[in-house]
Amino acid sequence: MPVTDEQVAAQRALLRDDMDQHKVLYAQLDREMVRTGYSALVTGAFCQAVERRFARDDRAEVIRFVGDVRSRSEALAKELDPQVAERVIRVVLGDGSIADVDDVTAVGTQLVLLTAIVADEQLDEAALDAFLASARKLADQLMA
Amino acid sequence: MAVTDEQVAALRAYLYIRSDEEADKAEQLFKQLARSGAVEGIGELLYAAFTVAARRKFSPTWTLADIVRFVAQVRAQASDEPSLLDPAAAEHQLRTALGAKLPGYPAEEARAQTQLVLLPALADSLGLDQAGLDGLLAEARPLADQLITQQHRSSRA
Repeated sequence: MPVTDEQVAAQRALLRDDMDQHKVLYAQLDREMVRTGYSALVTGAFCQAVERRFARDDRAEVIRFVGDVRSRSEALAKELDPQVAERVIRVVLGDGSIADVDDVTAVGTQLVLLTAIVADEQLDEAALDAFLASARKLADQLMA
Repeated sequence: MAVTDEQVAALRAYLYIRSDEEADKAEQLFKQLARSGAVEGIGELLYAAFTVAARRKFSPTWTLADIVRFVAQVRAQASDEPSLLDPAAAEHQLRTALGAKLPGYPAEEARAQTQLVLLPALADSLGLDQAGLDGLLAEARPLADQLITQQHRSSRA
């Protein structure tokens, strides 16, 4: 089952930092589909964002970025595990594994980092649409 | 029992490593301490120096964000050795040194390792030259002596 328009719309609202709209759209999603299609969309978008943001061998930049994200709020500092966050990024860059990290933690961490990367990029509406279209394609491939 | 001149000299040498020769010298001083059985008190001196340096760096006002950024910066500089510094332990140690009341963590050996990595980074970030290091250690030494005295009292009680 490929990613749906509704899942893309929910994620688009999140990445535009429109939390009210995101909550409404996310609540309307089929729960089973959230576990599959929506999670795949998060992962697809996260992989795209990480590959755009980081050079392959720059571990130092990954550490600095996670520190920067965690320093944006006390809640993030306490809730985002820095080592898990760094590993979740590095695995996209072909470094290491997150086989021991449970899916909920992995996707939750990806979502926080994805939101931060996209916020930093300050994408306009067209760029965000292009980004999500590309992420959707990757997510469909991941689920195929 | 109090901090000795040899312990201060060893920690000072460790904090002023700028070359392989200075690294060798620091290592030799620590080996001499270990050989002579004169290591008791070095942990307290390390902790006191770490606390003084942390307070100089971050007090009077600091936020968790300041601590998170500093630890990330230190870890980024040693990114080829990711296991050198546990970020959770490092942030916990710094916040505790700055007066935050937090549950005990991590284990004693890991605390010392964390302080050993963070202290030179704090000294560097404070821009301490040799005279500055002497000042830091001079401030830390009586605090360490107090800690040692307190520990002896509590162990006898």
